[in-house]
Amino acid sequence: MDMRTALRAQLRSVRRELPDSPALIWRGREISYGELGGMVDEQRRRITEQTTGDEPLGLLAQTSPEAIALMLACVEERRPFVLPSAELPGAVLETLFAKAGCRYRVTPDGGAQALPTLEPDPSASHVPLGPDTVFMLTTSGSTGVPKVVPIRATALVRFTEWARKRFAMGRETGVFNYAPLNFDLCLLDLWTTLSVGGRVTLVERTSAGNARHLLSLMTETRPNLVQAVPMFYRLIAQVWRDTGEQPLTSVRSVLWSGDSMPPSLLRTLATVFPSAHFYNVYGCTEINNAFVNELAPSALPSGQIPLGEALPGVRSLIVDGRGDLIDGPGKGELWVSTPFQTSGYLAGEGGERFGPHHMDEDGPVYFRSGDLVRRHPNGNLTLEGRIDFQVKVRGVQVDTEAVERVLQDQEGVVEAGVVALPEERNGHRLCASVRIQPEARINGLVLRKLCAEHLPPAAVPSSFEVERSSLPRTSTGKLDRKVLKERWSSRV
Amino acid sequence: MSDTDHRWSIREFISQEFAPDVPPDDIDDDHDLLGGAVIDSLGVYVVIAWLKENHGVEADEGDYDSFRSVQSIDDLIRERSGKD
Repeated sequence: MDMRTALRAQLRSVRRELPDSPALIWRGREISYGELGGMVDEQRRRITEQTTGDEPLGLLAQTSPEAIALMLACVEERRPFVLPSAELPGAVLETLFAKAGCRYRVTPDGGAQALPTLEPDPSASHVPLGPDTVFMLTTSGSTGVPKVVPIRATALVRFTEWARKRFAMGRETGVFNYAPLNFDLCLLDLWTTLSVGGRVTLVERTSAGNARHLLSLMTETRPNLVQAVPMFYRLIAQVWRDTGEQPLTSVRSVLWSGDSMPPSLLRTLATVFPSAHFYNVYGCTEINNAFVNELAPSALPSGQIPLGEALPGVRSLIVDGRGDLIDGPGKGELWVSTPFQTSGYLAGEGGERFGPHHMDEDGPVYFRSGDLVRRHPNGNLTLEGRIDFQVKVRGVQVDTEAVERVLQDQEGVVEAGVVALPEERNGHRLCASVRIQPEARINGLVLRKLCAEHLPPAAVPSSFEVERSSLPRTSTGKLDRKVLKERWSSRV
Repeated sequence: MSDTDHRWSIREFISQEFAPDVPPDDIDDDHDLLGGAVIDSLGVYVVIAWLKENHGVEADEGDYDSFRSVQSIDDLIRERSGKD
């Protein structure tokens, strides 16, 4: 049985065996597996009636039971789909769907809408979509249009097997899903939970910033596992203190990823979740999870949290600037190979980030993470920054070069430099320094709107300075972002 | 409080809190603060808190569209506070 068929069979058997068990909790109501099955059938009907062909469908959806039913319906119909962030501006979504070859845009409520066929780009390398592809997620690209990451059925099945065992997930397990549908965190939150018959508490996107709502939702629905970016836990900790500090005793597993967890916040979480173990998860969309550091409440680290243990089947290398391996203590780029990784971005772009190491041509295909790591004398690995311009803002990956490009494309803008300052609340705060032509009528409002129209919301800088004088340069004539960063830091 | 005073205080607040690089007077009454990424999804809660503390006005995420412009925030204040 091929993996895609296995995945469908797994999801179907759960629905058959547990028709009355809660699958989803939404707006205070439980939705059973039977009811969800009915919703899936309805979405399947729409797909069959409103679309033809076998190209990927372009899904536009925020978290909801109907959206999840739509995703499951696509799996049932063997239609791969692209699931970008629903917050992307329209122009970016259009380009993305066209890139993936989608002929339809599908929404959970509105059915399928035919998309205009764009002229195929002759310069784009056509790497066909693997037959094993279940869906496609996205990750930020330096041009502003996200790169597309195909997720194979094999990867999904292997991942759910690992997650299920690692976190003892079964029919009785309640999971709190905070991440938006297009985050790869949903491979655990949604896909794994639904494949084992557990129940998922869904967070409506419009309430995702409402700390009181989030806390009361967790209190009411009593999940056993919570996974989120550190920003979520900061929101919870703050409101928890203000509302009587009732411990959330149902939670056995607290997972975070995507950003560093401050030790002080972690200590607070140990009192919010007194029955839980804590898991620092390292991974990204291209490889899914690679390292997990399980922390018992009695042994919380006081400094930076190491990456922890590699998952079964994961191999990693640390590579220096010349491409040589670093064995033993040292700092370099982390290359990772996981059993869940994508075989490459869609349309073959960014192919140089996937491949074996030149000293081990017959070895596994590694993904060059772009993360700088340090291997300590005791073997621990810690994250030390990036080799590129990617940063996390509110848990969302942002490419500051992409932001600079958007700004520089604006008529009247001479040059732009975007730097990321570390910030407690959001992880990073983007600060843009923009040089304009003397006669240009451009201010921070114009630039913010420009960014909103071409970038995901998290990529819009929160601070702007608009100047007519030139931006600082290095001795080699390049934009000196270090000086820009210092300038911005000194203002805070 | 007169109409003009509300909008002045709203512009001041928006500038200080979300766009310190933009003088309050440069914010047009009908500039799209949401679509124009001046107020982001978390910023909405800052606006809600400010409305409560500075104008005694209760609002929540359901009032999202009322935060779209200086004018619409002004309308909301007048509606909810009963002041003119």
